[in-house]
Amino acid sequence: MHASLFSFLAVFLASAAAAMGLGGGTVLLLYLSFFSSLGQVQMQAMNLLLFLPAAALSLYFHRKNGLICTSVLLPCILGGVLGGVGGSVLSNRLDPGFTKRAFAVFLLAIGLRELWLSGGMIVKKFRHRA
Amino acid sequence: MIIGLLNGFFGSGGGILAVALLERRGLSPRQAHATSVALILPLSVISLAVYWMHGSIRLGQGLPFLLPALLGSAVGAWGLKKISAPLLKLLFSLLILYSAIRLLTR
Repeated sequence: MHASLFSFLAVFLASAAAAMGLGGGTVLLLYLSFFSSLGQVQMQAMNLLLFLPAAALSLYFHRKNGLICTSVLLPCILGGVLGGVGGSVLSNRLDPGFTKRAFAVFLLAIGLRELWLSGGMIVKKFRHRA
Repeated sequence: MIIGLLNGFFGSGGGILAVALLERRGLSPRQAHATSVALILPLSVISLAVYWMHGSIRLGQGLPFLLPALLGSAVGAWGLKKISAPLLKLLFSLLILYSAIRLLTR
């Protein structure tokens, strides 16, 4: 990925979204897939790399604001580490085209679910005000 | 485990699922979004280590982007306090759907 104002802006926006837990990594992967010459696996690795400093700093602020629920972290992290190793190994062995399509389908499913839920929350808020 | 598997396999996406699962466990949307970052950070370190061992990344490649990443992170952390929960969820869903459609139609 070449350093340019455009790429800096993309990383800035993706990091802001990532800090808010909005899926900034997805945004950055999208940018990398359109504007970089990196292969699928290299894009995924770059995405993980750029997430680390953004996440570390945002965690400092989230903790300060009392937004981190620590009781759920340890059991989730332990299981997640096992899954993370397995997933990374698998990704480096499978066809990158398949990985990309599978990711898009996964995003579609989650996005539709979240849109449905957000619609419900907004309707509830307006009804409460009325 | 599924969150880690997704994060390692796709290089992203684990946090998205983590938010949904954390909300189901009773966390508020803001807490779920913030806690998902805490959950995904160590998993990303592990996954990145596996990618690095496979030769898929040189760690120095990210150095030019450190400053914009940190600035964006600070802005995002500030924004999470200010945005209402329904709006947060709506932005989240639209961003993900946009990404999905662009990836599928490419």
